[in-house]
Amino acid sequence: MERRSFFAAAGATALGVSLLSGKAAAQSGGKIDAKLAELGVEVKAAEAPVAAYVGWRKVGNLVYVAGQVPAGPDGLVLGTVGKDLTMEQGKAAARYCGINILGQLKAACGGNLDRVKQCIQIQGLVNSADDFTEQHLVVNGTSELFRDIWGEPGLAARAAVGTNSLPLGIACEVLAIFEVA
Amino acid sequence: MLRRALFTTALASFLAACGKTEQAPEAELETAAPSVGKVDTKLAELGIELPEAATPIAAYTPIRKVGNMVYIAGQGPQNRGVVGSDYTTEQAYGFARAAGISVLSQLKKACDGDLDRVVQCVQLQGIVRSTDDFTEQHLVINGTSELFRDIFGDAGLAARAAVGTNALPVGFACEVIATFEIA
Repeated sequence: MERRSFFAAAGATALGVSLLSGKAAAQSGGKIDAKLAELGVEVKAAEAPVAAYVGWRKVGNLVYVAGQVPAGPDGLVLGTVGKDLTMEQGKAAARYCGINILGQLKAACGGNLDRVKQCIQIQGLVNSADDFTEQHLVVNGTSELFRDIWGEPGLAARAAVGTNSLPLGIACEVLAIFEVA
Repeated sequence: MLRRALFTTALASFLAACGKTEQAPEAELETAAPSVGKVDTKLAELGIELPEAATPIAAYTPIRKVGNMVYIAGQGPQNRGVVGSDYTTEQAYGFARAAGISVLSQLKKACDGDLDRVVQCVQLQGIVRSTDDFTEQHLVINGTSELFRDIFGDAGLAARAAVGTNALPVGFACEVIATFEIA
């Protein structure tokens, strides 16, 4: 039981729930920061990892961002899309995942999001009812955010899929790979 | 073995072309082959014996290399069943660890037997065969992550994603996909 609760604590952090308690990122005043302000998107700083994961990995000019959860201003968005949540609610959750990705990406770029050249790949997993078939529209919540920020380079070679269950019961999870300068 | 012999021959030709004589006799090269690296020592310490790398069960290759990246195909444990009904989180943690050991067998092959060449684990995707109401996939996949951390230290931690699914090939309880950077 004790082991279980240790796992639970470690796991919650491993999922990157950092947005809930993250500090506001330092303003570096770049082009992308200006764009984010225009869009009313506040990117929180990614917290230092304390368990069996890292928020991102860099290899050469590629940044791999770990699967991010839909942590929004009111906490995690939980539930099954197509049953507990509508497609639009799922899409809003995917946007939160996207904002969480930006926090990790910013950390990987040393705080300067202007270094991002393009989004290479996005994988979006949607906690779905068996008969729900609009995962692609849900994951647009992430894709459209990145397109609004970077234009065409923000669009990725993308895969949107459904699943019957996700960690903590979250509505969706999104992972991404970026090219940076 | 053939590859090593070819290399030795190539080396000899190269050295001859350089006008030097071959310094290392073949016998010496042969005895140097089963070197025990730092990671091998670590594995022994942890009581882990890497099995033969599993052969693919369908139309795919278990390893792909691109530059210094190694992509390893999805590896599963021996265990079949659904986590949340047939198995507990703790049991499945053990399965994810077993899948991680299969990943290491493939990785070792990709590194020509020398796991000390591993620079870092870049990405890890863990898929857990789950009941609809199971929500601890992240704790299950810690079975793989903590194994890699115990072996490679912080470099063994990856940008990770843990997810659930209702079904996996041959009924695997979980499947793990990993990407490593090697030297």
